[in-house]
Amino acid sequence: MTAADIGVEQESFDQWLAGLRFWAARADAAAYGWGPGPIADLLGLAVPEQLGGSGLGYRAACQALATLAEETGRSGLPFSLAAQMWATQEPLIAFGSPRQREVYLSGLITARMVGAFAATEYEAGSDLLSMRTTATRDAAGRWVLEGSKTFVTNGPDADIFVILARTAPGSALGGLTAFCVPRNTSGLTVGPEIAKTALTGARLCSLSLNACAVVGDAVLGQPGGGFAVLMHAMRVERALILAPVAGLMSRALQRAVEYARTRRQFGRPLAEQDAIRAHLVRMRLSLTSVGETLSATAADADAGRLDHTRSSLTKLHVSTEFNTFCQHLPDIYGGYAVLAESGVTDLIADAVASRFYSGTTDMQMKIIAEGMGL
Amino acid sequence: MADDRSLTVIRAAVAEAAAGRAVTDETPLIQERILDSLSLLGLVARLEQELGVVVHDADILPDNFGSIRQIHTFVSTRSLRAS
Ligand SMILES: Cc1cc2nc3c(=O)[nH]c(=O)nc-3n(C[C@H](O)[C@H](O)[C@H](O)COP(=O)(O)OP(=O)(O)OC[C@H]3O[C@@H](n4cnc5c(N)ncnc54)[C@H](O)[C@@H]3O)c2cc1C
Repeated sequence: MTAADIGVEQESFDQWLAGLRFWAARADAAAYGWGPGPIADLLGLAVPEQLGGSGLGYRAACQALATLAEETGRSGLPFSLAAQMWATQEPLIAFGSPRQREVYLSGLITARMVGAFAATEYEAGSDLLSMRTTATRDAAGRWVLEGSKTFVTNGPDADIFVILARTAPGSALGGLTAFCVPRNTSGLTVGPEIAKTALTGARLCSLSLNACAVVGDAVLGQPGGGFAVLMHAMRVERALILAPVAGLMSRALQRAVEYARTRRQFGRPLAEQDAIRAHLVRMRLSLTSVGETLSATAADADAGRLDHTRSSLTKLHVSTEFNTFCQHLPDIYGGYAVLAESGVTDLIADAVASRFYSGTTDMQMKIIAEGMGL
Repeated sequence: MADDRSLTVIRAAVAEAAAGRAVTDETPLIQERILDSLSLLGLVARLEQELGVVVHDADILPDNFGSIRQIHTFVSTRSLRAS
Protein backbone atom coordinates (compact mmCIF):
# COMPACT_ATOMS: atom_id res chain seq x y z
CA MET A 1 0.00 0.00 0.00
CA THR A 2 1.37 3.41 -0.91
CA ALA A 3 1.15 6.59 1.13
CA ALA A 4 -1.33 7.91 -1.42
CA ASP A 5 -3.62 4.91 -0.80
CA ILE A 6 -3.53 5.55 2.94
CA GLY A 7 -4.40 9.20 2.28
CA VAL A 8 -7.43 8.23 0.25
CA GLU A 9 -8.53 5.77 2.89
CA GLN A 10 -8.15 8.35 5.64
CA GLU A 11 -10.08 10.88 3.60
CA SER A 12 -12.93 8.50 2.91
CA PHE A 13 -12.98 7.44 6.59
CA ASP A 14 -13.18 11.08 7.66
CA GLN A 15 -16.08 11.55 5.27
CA TRP A 16 -17.78 8.44 6.59
CA LEU A 17 -17.29 9.66 10.18
CA ALA A 18 -18.87 12.99 9.28
CA GLY A 19 -21.81 11.03 7.84
CA LEU A 20 -22.09 9.01 11.05
CA ARG A 21 -22.06 12.22 13.08
CA PHE A 22 -24.80 13.68 10.89
CA TRP A 23 -26.92 10.52 11.09
CA ALA A 24 -26.45 10.07 14.85
CA ALA A 25 -27.34 13.65 15.64
CA ARG A 26 -30.55 13.51 13.60
CA ALA A 27 -31.81 9.94 13.45
CA ASP A 28 -35.02 9.18 15.20
CA ALA A 29 -34.43 7.43 18.54
CA ALA A 30 -36.13 4.32 17.16
CA ALA A 31 -33.50 4.15 14.41
CA TYR A 32 -30.70 3.62 16.92
CA GLY A 33 -30.43 -0.10 16.68
CA TRP A 34 -28.77 -2.89 14.78
CA GLY A 35 -29.37 -2.61 11.07
CA PRO A 36 -27.72 -1.99 7.73
CA GLY A 37 -26.17 1.44 7.19
CA PRO A 38 -23.87 3.23 9.60
CA ILE A 39 -24.19 0.65 12.39
CA ALA A 40 -23.22 -2.24 10.13
CA ASP A 41 -20.29 -0.20 8.76
CA LEU A 42 -19.14 0.51 12.29
CA LEU A 43 -19.25 -3.17 13.30
CA GLY A 44 -16.91 -4.04 10.41
CA LEU A 45 -14.31 -1.29 10.87
CA ALA A 46 -11.84 -3.40 12.87
CA VAL A 47 -12.47 -6.59 10.86
CA PRO A 48 -9.86 -7.46 8.20
CA GLU A 49 -10.94 -7.01 4.58
CA GLN A 50 -10.45 -10.68 3.75
CA LEU A 51 -13.05 -11.51 6.40
CA GLY A 52 -15.58 -9.05 5.02
CA GLY A 53 -14.77 -5.97 7.11
CA SER A 54 -13.29 -2.70 5.97
CA GLY A 55 -9.96 -3.33 7.71
CA LEU A 56 -9.62 0.29 8.84
CA GLY A 57 -8.57 -0.88 12.27
CA TYR A 58 -9.09 -0.39 15.97
CA ARG A 59 -8.37 3.34 16.06
CA ALA A 60 -11.01 4.01 13.44
CA ALA A 61 -13.49 1.78 15.30
CA CYS A 62 -12.85 3.57 18.61
CA GLN A 63 -13.27 6.97 16.96
CA ALA A 64 -16.58 5.82 15.50
CA LEU A 65 -17.84 4.48 18.86
CA ALA A 66 -16.90 7.75 20.58
CA THR A 67 -18.59 9.78 17.84
CA LEU A 68 -21.78 7.73 18.10
CA ALA A 69 -21.84 8.22 21.89
CA GLU A 70 -21.06 11.93 21.61
CA GLU A 71 -23.74 12.69 19.05
CA THR A 72 -26.54 10.54 20.42
CA GLY A 73 -25.75 11.15 24.08
CA ARG A 74 -26.70 7.52 24.64
CA SER A 75 -24.35 5.12 26.32
CA GLY A 76 -26.26 1.86 25.83
CA LEU A 77 -26.01 1.39 22.07
CA PRO A 78 -22.26 2.07 21.72
CA PHE A 79 -21.63 -0.19 24.73
CA SER A 80 -23.67 -2.99 23.14
CA LEU A 81 -21.85 -2.60 19.83
CA ALA A 82 -18.45 -2.54 21.53
CA ALA A 83 -19.33 -5.63 23.58
CA GLN A 84 -20.19 -7.51 20.38
CA MET A 85 -17.13 -6.23 18.51
CA TRP A 86 -14.56 -7.05 21.18
CA ALA A 87 -16.00 -10.12 22.92
CA THR A 88 -17.83 -11.95 20.11
CA GLN A 89 -16.39 -10.83 16.77
CA GLU A 90 -12.74 -10.77 17.95
CA PRO A 91 -12.74 -14.39 19.20
CA LEU A 92 -14.39 -15.44 15.90
CA ILE A 93 -11.69 -13.58 13.96
CA ALA A 94 -8.89 -15.15 16.00
CA PHE A 95 -10.23 -18.67 16.55
CA GLY A 96 -13.23 -19.21 14.24
CA SER A 97 -13.30 -22.06 11.73
CA PRO A 98 -14.05 -21.09 8.11
CA ARG A 99 -17.66 -22.18 8.66
CA GLN A 100 -18.04 -20.23 11.93
CA ARG A 101 -16.67 -17.12 10.25
CA GLU A 102 -18.84 -17.62 7.21
CA VAL A 103 -22.06 -18.09 9.18
CA TYR A 104 -21.58 -16.01 12.33
CA LEU A 105 -18.91 -13.37 11.70
CA SER A 106 -20.40 -12.31 8.39
CA GLY A 107 -23.86 -12.19 10.01
CA LEU A 108 -22.56 -10.03 12.87
CA ILE A 109 -20.67 -7.49 10.77
CA THR A 110 -23.57 -6.96 8.40
CA ALA A 111 -25.83 -6.42 11.44
CA ARG A 112 -28.05 -9.29 10.35
CA MET A 113 -27.18 -11.03 13.61
CA VAL A 114 -26.50 -9.93 17.17
CA GLY A 115 -23.76 -11.60 19.22
CA ALA A 116 -23.19 -12.08 22.96
CA PHE A 117 -20.40 -13.45 25.13
CA ALA A 118 -21.33 -15.44 28.22
CA ALA A 119 -18.64 -16.20 30.78
CA THR A 120 -19.89 -14.73 34.09
CA GLU A 121 -22.07 -16.83 36.40
CA TYR A 122 -23.90 -15.92 39.57
CA GLU A 123 -21.16 -17.49 41.71
CA ALA A 124 -18.31 -16.78 39.29
CA GLY A 125 -17.83 -13.02 38.90
CA SER A 126 -14.28 -11.80 39.57
CA ASP A 127 -13.46 -15.43 40.36
CA LEU A 128 -14.46 -16.25 36.80
CA LEU A 129 -12.42 -19.40 36.50
CA SER A 130 -14.51 -21.05 39.23
CA MET A 131 -17.35 -21.27 36.68
CA ARG A 132 -19.59 -24.32 37.03
CA THR A 133 -21.25 -24.59 33.64
CA THR A 134 -20.07 -27.88 32.15
CA ALA A 135 -20.01 -29.40 28.69
CA THR A 136 -19.67 -33.16 28.32
CA ARG A 137 -19.65 -35.35 25.22
CA ASP A 138 -22.58 -37.70 24.67
CA ALA A 139 -22.52 -41.02 22.83
CA ALA A 140 -23.33 -39.28 19.55
CA GLY A 141 -20.27 -37.02 19.91
CA ARG A 142 -22.31 -33.92 20.67
CA TRP A 143 -21.35 -31.53 23.48
CA VAL A 144 -24.05 -31.16 26.14
CA LEU A 145 -24.00 -27.93 28.16
CA GLU A 146 -25.45 -27.68 31.67
CA GLY A 147 -25.44 -24.62 33.89
CA SER A 148 -26.30 -20.95 33.82
CA LYS A 149 -24.79 -17.59 32.88
CA THR A 150 -25.63 -14.05 33.89
CA PHE A 151 -24.82 -10.43 32.96
CA VAL A 152 -24.94 -11.40 29.29
CA THR A 153 -24.78 -8.12 27.35
CA ASN A 154 -26.96 -8.26 24.19
CA GLY A 155 -28.40 -11.58 25.42
CA PRO A 156 -32.09 -10.64 24.99
CA ASP A 157 -31.51 -9.94 21.27
CA ALA A 158 -28.62 -12.25 20.45
CA ASP A 159 -28.74 -14.80 17.64
CA ILE A 160 -25.39 -16.32 18.54
CA PHE A 161 -23.81 -16.82 21.98
CA VAL A 162 -20.15 -17.56 22.65
CA ILE A 163 -20.40 -19.57 25.87
CA LEU A 164 -17.54 -20.73 28.07
CA ALA A 165 -17.90 -24.03 29.87
CA ARG A 166 -15.74 -26.43 31.82
CA THR A 167 -14.87 -29.56 29.85
CA ALA A 168 -12.29 -31.11 32.19
CA PRO A 169 -11.65 -30.98 35.94
CA GLY A 170 -8.58 -29.25 37.37
CA SER A 171 -6.95 -26.09 36.11
CA ALA A 172 -8.92 -23.71 33.93
CA LEU A 173 -5.88 -23.56 31.67
CA GLY A 174 -6.79 -26.84 30.02
CA GLY A 175 -10.26 -27.30 31.45
CA LEU A 176 -12.33 -24.68 29.62
CA THR A 177 -13.81 -24.75 26.14
CA ALA A 178 -15.63 -22.02 24.20
CA PHE A 179 -18.74 -22.87 22.18
CA CYS A 180 -20.77 -21.04 19.53
CA VAL A 181 -24.36 -21.68 20.51
CA PRO A 182 -27.16 -20.41 18.23
CA ARG A 183 -30.18 -18.96 20.00
CA ASN A 184 -32.62 -21.60 18.74
CA THR A 185 -30.59 -24.48 20.22
CA SER A 186 -32.84 -26.74 22.24
CA GLY A 187 -31.99 -26.56 25.97
CA LEU A 188 -30.86 -22.92 25.81
CA THR A 189 -33.29 -20.62 27.63
CA VAL A 190 -32.79 -16.87 27.31
CA GLY A 191 -34.01 -15.13 30.48
CA PRO A 192 -35.91 -11.86 30.70
CA GLU A 193 -34.06 -8.56 30.43
CA ILE A 194 -32.32 -7.64 33.70
CA ALA A 195 -33.53 -4.26 35.00
CA LYS A 196 -30.55 -1.98 35.64
CA THR A 197 -29.85 1.69 36.30
CA ALA A 198 -26.87 2.30 33.99
CA LEU A 199 -26.16 2.04 30.24
CA THR A 200 -29.77 2.60 29.23
CA GLY A 201 -30.46 0.91 25.92
CA ALA A 202 -27.98 -1.94 26.41
CA ARG A 203 -29.91 -5.11 27.22
CA LEU A 204 -28.62 -7.82 29.54
CA CYS A 205 -30.06 -11.16 30.64
CA SER A 206 -29.23 -14.51 32.18
CA LEU A 207 -29.10 -17.82 30.31
CA SER A 208 -29.93 -21.29 31.46
CA LEU A 209 -28.52 -24.37 29.82
CA ASN A 210 -30.34 -27.65 30.39
CA ALA A 211 -29.22 -30.57 28.27
CA CYS A 212 -28.27 -28.01 25.65
CA ALA A 213 -26.63 -30.14 22.95
CA VAL A 214 -24.44 -28.74 20.18
CA VAL A 215 -22.53 -30.57 17.48
CA GLY A 216 -18.75 -30.92 17.52
CA ASP A 217 -18.09 -28.02 15.18
CA ALA A 218 -19.67 -25.64 17.68
CA VAL A 219 -16.33 -25.59 19.52
CA LEU A 220 -14.59 -22.23 19.04
CA GLY A 221 -10.84 -22.88 18.91
CA GLN A 222 -9.77 -26.21 20.36
CA PRO A 223 -11.48 -28.37 22.96
CA GLY A 224 -9.64 -27.40 26.17
CA GLY A 225 -8.53 -24.13 24.59
CA GLY A 226 -11.24 -21.95 26.16
CA PHE A 227 -8.78 -20.11 28.36
CA ALA A 228 -6.97 -18.82 25.27
CA VAL A 229 -10.29 -17.63 23.82
CA LEU A 230 -11.15 -15.91 27.09
CA MET A 231 -7.73 -14.24 27.32
CA HIS A 232 -8.01 -13.00 23.76
CA ALA A 233 -11.49 -11.57 24.25
CA MET A 234 -10.51 -9.93 27.54
CA ARG A 235 -7.29 -8.43 26.19
CA VAL A 236 -9.11 -6.62 23.41
CA GLU A 237 -12.24 -5.87 25.42
CA ARG A 238 -10.43 -4.36 28.41
CA ALA A 239 -8.43 -2.15 26.10
CA LEU A 240 -11.28 -0.85 23.98
CA ILE A 241 -14.65 -1.35 25.72
CA LEU A 242 -14.44 2.18 27.12
CA ALA A 243 -13.97 3.81 23.68
CA PRO A 244 -17.48 5.35 23.83
CA VAL A 245 -16.60 7.03 27.14
CA ALA A 246 -14.43 9.61 25.36
CA GLY A 247 -17.53 10.71 23.42
CA LEU A 248 -19.81 10.73 26.47
CA MET A 249 -17.33 12.86 28.41
CA SER A 250 -16.83 15.25 25.51
CA ARG A 251 -20.57 15.80 25.22
CA ALA A 252 -20.99 16.24 28.97
CA LEU A 253 -18.16 18.79 29.09
CA GLN A 254 -19.60 20.82 26.19
CA ARG A 255 -22.96 20.89 27.96
CA ALA A 256 -21.43 21.82 31.31
CA VAL A 257 -19.47 24.69 29.73
CA GLU A 258 -22.64 25.92 28.06
CA TYR A 259 -24.54 25.69 31.34
CA ALA A 260 -21.83 27.57 33.27
CA ARG A 261 -21.84 30.31 30.64
CA THR A 262 -25.58 30.84 30.70
CA ARG A 263 -26.55 30.21 34.33
CA ARG A 264 -26.19 33.47 36.27
CA GLN A 265 -25.89 33.87 40.04
CA PHE A 266 -24.76 36.96 41.98
CA GLY A 267 -25.16 38.97 38.80
CA ARG A 268 -22.70 37.07 36.62
CA PRO A 269 -22.33 33.74 34.82
CA LEU A 270 -21.17 30.76 36.89
CA ALA A 271 -18.34 30.46 34.36
CA GLU A 272 -16.73 33.57 35.89
CA GLN A 273 -16.45 31.97 39.33
CA ASP A 274 -12.98 30.55 39.94
CA ALA A 275 -14.34 27.49 41.72
CA ILE A 276 -16.51 26.59 38.70
CA ARG A 277 -13.69 27.26 36.25
CA ALA A 278 -11.45 24.91 38.24
CA HIS A 279 -14.04 22.14 37.99
CA LEU A 280 -14.32 22.61 34.24
CA VAL A 281 -10.56 22.68 33.76
CA ARG A 282 -10.17 19.46 35.73
CA MET A 283 -12.87 17.86 33.60
CA ARG A 284 -10.97 18.96 30.50
CA LEU A 285 -7.84 17.37 31.93
CA SER A 286 -9.62 14.04 32.47
CA LEU A 287 -11.13 14.15 28.98
CA THR A 288 -7.76 14.89 27.35
CA SER A 289 -6.02 12.08 29.15
CA VAL A 290 -8.83 9.60 28.39
CA GLY A 291 -8.81 10.51 24.69
CA GLU A 292 -5.05 10.22 24.38
CA THR A 293 -4.86 6.96 26.32
CA LEU A 294 -7.59 5.30 24.26
CA SER A 295 -6.08 6.51 21.02
CA ALA A 296 -2.58 5.26 21.91
CA THR A 297 -3.96 1.90 23.07
CA ALA A 298 -5.97 1.46 19.88
CA ALA A 299 -2.84 2.34 17.87
CA ASP A 300 -0.97 -0.38 19.79
CA ALA A 301 -3.73 -2.82 18.88
CA ASP A 302 -3.45 -1.79 15.21
CA ALA A 303 0.29 -2.39 15.37
CA GLY A 304 -0.29 -5.85 16.91
CA ARG A 305 1.47 -4.98 20.17
CA LEU A 306 -1.35 -4.80 22.68
CA ASP A 307 -0.39 -6.76 25.78
CA HIS A 308 -2.46 -7.60 28.87
CA THR A 309 -0.74 -4.95 30.96
CA ARG A 310 -1.54 -2.18 28.49
CA SER A 311 -5.16 -3.37 28.25
CA SER A 312 -5.62 -3.37 32.01
CA LEU A 313 -3.85 -0.02 32.43
CA THR A 314 -6.24 1.48 29.88
CA LYS A 315 -9.34 -0.01 31.51
CA LEU A 316 -8.20 1.16 34.95
CA HIS A 317 -7.18 4.64 33.85
CA VAL A 318 -10.20 5.46 31.70
CA SER A 319 -12.74 4.17 34.24
CA THR A 320 -10.99 6.07 37.05
CA GLU A 321 -10.87 9.33 35.07
CA PHE A 322 -14.50 8.88 33.98
CA ASN A 323 -15.52 8.69 37.65
CA THR A 324 -13.32 11.65 38.63
CA PHE A 325 -14.83 13.66 35.77
CA CYS A 326 -18.37 12.86 36.90
CA GLN A 327 -17.71 13.95 40.46
CA HIS A 328 -17.37 17.55 39.23
CA LEU A 329 -20.73 17.65 37.48
CA PRO A 330 -23.03 18.15 40.49
CA ASP A 331 -20.90 21.08 41.63
CA ILE A 332 -21.61 22.82 38.35
CA TYR A 333 -25.30 21.99 38.03
CA GLY A 334 -26.21 22.39 41.70
CA GLY A 335 -29.72 21.15 42.41
CA TYR A 336 -30.35 20.75 38.68
CA ALA A 337 -27.95 17.79 38.75
CA VAL A 338 -30.75 15.59 40.06
CA LEU A 339 -33.21 16.59 37.36
CA ALA A 340 -33.47 13.99 34.63
CA GLU A 341 -32.92 16.60 31.90
CA SER A 342 -29.34 17.29 33.06
CA GLY A 343 -28.38 13.63 32.47
CA VAL A 344 -25.91 13.92 35.37
CA THR A 345 -27.04 10.96 37.46
CA ASP A 346 -27.31 8.76 34.34
CA LEU A 347 -23.70 9.55 33.50
CA ILE A 348 -22.62 8.88 37.09
CA ALA A 349 -24.34 5.48 36.90
CA ASP A 350 -22.49 4.74 33.65
CA ALA A 351 -19.22 5.72 35.33
CA VAL A 352 -19.91 3.38 38.25
CA ALA A 353 -20.67 0.52 35.84
CA SER A 354 -17.40 1.16 33.97
CA ARG A 355 -15.46 0.16 37.07
CA PHE A 356 -16.95 -3.33 37.02
CA TYR A 357 -17.63 -4.72 33.57
CA SER A 358 -14.71 -6.41 31.74
CA GLY A 359 -13.12 -7.07 35.13
CA THR A 360 -13.28 -4.84 38.19
CA THR A 361 -10.71 -2.22 39.20
CA ASP A 362 -9.29 -4.68 41.75
CA MET A 363 -8.79 -7.30 39.04
CA GLN A 364 -7.05 -4.82 36.70
CA MET A 365 -4.71 -3.95 39.58
CA LYS A 366 -3.85 -7.62 40.03
CA ILE A 367 -3.10 -8.11 36.32
CA ILE A 368 -0.92 -4.98 36.19
CA ALA A 369 0.92 -6.03 39.35
CA GLU A 370 1.63 -9.49 37.85
CA GLY A 371 2.98 -7.85 34.69
CA MET A 372 5.33 -5.79 36.89
CA GLY A 373 6.71 -8.99 38.40
CA LEU A 374 5.39 -8.10 41.86
CA MET B 1 17.31 -24.27 20.28
CA ALA B 2 16.85 -21.36 22.60
CA ASP B 3 20.01 -20.62 24.55
CA ASP B 4 20.60 -21.22 28.25
CA ARG B 5 19.60 -17.70 29.05
CA SER B 6 16.01 -18.44 28.15
CA LEU B 7 16.02 -21.46 30.47
CA THR B 8 17.41 -19.30 33.26
CA VAL B 9 14.74 -16.65 32.72
CA ILE B 10 11.96 -19.27 32.62
CA ARG B 11 13.22 -21.00 35.79
CA ALA B 12 13.43 -17.68 37.64
CA ALA B 13 9.96 -16.59 36.54
CA VAL B 14 8.41 -19.93 37.51
CA ALA B 15 10.25 -19.93 40.84
CA GLU B 16 8.61 -16.63 41.66
CA ALA B 17 5.17 -17.95 40.79
CA ALA B 18 5.92 -21.03 42.92
CA ALA B 19 6.49 -18.81 45.96
CA GLY B 20 8.91 -21.12 47.75
CA ARG B 21 7.57 -24.47 46.53
CA ALA B 22 10.17 -26.78 45.02
CA VAL B 23 9.91 -26.94 41.24
CA THR B 24 11.93 -29.05 38.82
CA ASP B 25 11.96 -28.67 35.05
CA GLU B 26 9.37 -31.46 34.85
CA THR B 27 6.97 -30.41 37.64
CA PRO B 28 3.42 -30.23 36.22
CA LEU B 29 2.86 -26.52 36.82
CA ILE B 30 -0.81 -26.47 35.95
CA GLN B 31 -1.95 -29.65 37.69
CA GLU B 32 -0.05 -28.64 40.84
CA ARG B 33 -1.59 -25.17 40.57
CA ILE B 34 1.78 -23.44 40.64
CA LEU B 35 0.58 -21.38 37.68
CA ASP B 36 -2.89 -19.88 37.94
CA SER B 37 -4.55 -17.54 35.47
CA LEU B 38 -2.97 -14.41 36.92
CA SER B 39 0.54 -15.73 37.43
CA LEU B 40 0.39 -17.12 33.89
CA LEU B 41 -0.24 -13.61 32.56
CA GLY B 42 2.72 -12.42 34.63
CA LEU B 43 4.89 -15.20 33.20
CA VAL B 44 3.84 -14.36 29.64
CA ALA B 45 4.68 -10.69 30.26
CA ARG B 46 8.16 -11.66 31.49
CA LEU B 47 8.84 -13.96 28.56
CA GLU B 48 7.83 -11.19 26.19
CA GLN B 49 9.87 -8.52 27.94
CA GLU B 50 12.98 -10.47 28.84
CA LEU B 51 13.24 -12.90 25.93
CA GLY B 52 11.61 -10.81 23.23
CA VAL B 53 9.28 -13.66 22.18
CA VAL B 54 5.75 -12.90 21.10
CA VAL B 55 3.17 -15.07 22.84
CA HIS B 56 -0.16 -15.08 21.02
CA ASP B 57 -3.36 -15.73 22.94
CA ALA B 58 -3.82 -18.91 20.93
CA ASP B 59 -0.48 -20.17 22.34
CA ILE B 60 -1.80 -20.13 25.91
CA LEU B 61 -2.43 -23.87 25.96
CA PRO B 62 -1.57 -26.40 28.65
CA ASP B 63 0.86 -28.15 26.27
CA ASN B 64 2.93 -24.99 25.98
CA PHE B 65 2.92 -24.06 29.66
CA GLY B 66 2.64 -27.43 31.41
CA SER B 67 6.22 -27.47 32.77
CA ILE B 68 9.46 -25.51 32.60
CA ARG B 69 10.61 -27.98 29.92
CA GLN B 70 7.49 -27.38 27.82
CA ILE B 71 7.76 -23.60 28.19
CA HIS B 72 11.39 -23.84 27.07
CA THR B 73 10.45 -25.91 24.01
CA PHE B 74 7.68 -23.44 23.17
CA VAL B 75 10.00 -20.43 23.54
CA SER B 76 12.59 -22.16 21.35
CA THR B 77 10.16 -22.67 18.47
CA ARG B 78 9.01 -19.08 18.82
CA SER B 79 12.58 -17.73 18.76
CA LEU B 80 13.37 -19.85 15.71
CA ARG B 81 10.33 -18.59 13.84
CA ALA B 82 11.09 -14.99 14.74
CA SER B 83 14.69 -15.15 13.49
C1 LIG C 1 -23.04 -3.63 32.51
C2 LIG C 1 -22.35 -4.95 32.64
C3 LIG C 1 -22.20 -5.76 31.51
C4 LIG C 1 -21.59 -7.01 31.61
N1 LIG C 1 -21.51 -7.81 30.50
C5 LIG C 1 -20.99 -9.06 30.59
C6 LIG C 1 -21.00 -9.93 29.46
O1 LIG C 1 -21.44 -9.57 28.37
N2 LIG C 1 -20.52 -11.20 29.62
C7 LIG C 1 -20.02 -11.66 30.81
O2 LIG C 1 -19.60 -12.80 30.88
N3 LIG C 1 -20.01 -10.85 31.92
C8 LIG C 1 -20.48 -9.56 31.83
N4 LIG C 1 -20.50 -8.73 32.95
C9 LIG C 1 -20.04 -9.26 34.24
C10 LIG C 1 -18.78 -8.60 34.76
O3 LIG C 1 -17.66 -9.05 34.07
C11 LIG C 1 -18.72 -8.88 36.28
O4 LIG C 1 -19.72 -8.08 36.88
C12 LIG C 1 -17.37 -8.58 36.87
O5 LIG C 1 -16.42 -9.49 36.43
C13 LIG C 1 -17.37 -8.59 38.40
O6 LIG C 1 -18.03 -9.67 38.95
P1 LIG C 1 -19.16 -9.45 40.08
O7 LIG C 1 -20.07 -8.39 39.57
O8 LIG C 1 -19.72 -10.78 40.39
O9 LIG C 1 -18.42 -8.84 41.33
P2 LIG C 1 -17.69 -9.63 42.53
O10 LIG C 1 -16.70 -10.57 41.96
O11 LIG C 1 -18.73 -10.16 43.45
O12 LIG C 1 -16.90 -8.45 43.24
C14 LIG C 1 -17.46 -7.52 44.18
C15 LIG C 1 -16.36 -6.59 44.64
O13 LIG C 1 -15.35 -7.34 45.33
C16 LIG C 1 -14.09 -7.11 44.73
N5 LIG C 1 -13.28 -8.34 44.80
C17 LIG C 1 -13.67 -9.62 44.48
N6 LIG C 1 -12.64 -10.46 44.64
C18 LIG C 1 -11.59 -9.72 45.06
C19 LIG C 1 -10.23 -10.03 45.40
N7 LIG C 1 -9.74 -11.27 45.32
N8 LIG C 1 -9.42 -9.02 45.79
C20 LIG C 1 -9.89 -7.75 45.89
N9 LIG C 1 -11.16 -7.40 45.59
C21 LIG C 1 -11.99 -8.37 45.19
C22 LIG C 1 -14.38 -6.73 43.30
O14 LIG C 1 -13.32 -6.01 42.70
C23 LIG C 1 -15.63 -5.88 43.47
O15 LIG C 1 -15.28 -4.57 43.82
C24 LIG C 1 -21.09 -7.45 32.87
C25 LIG C 1 -21.22 -6.61 33.99
C26 LIG C 1 -21.83 -5.39 33.89
C27 LIG C 1 -21.95 -4.54 35.11
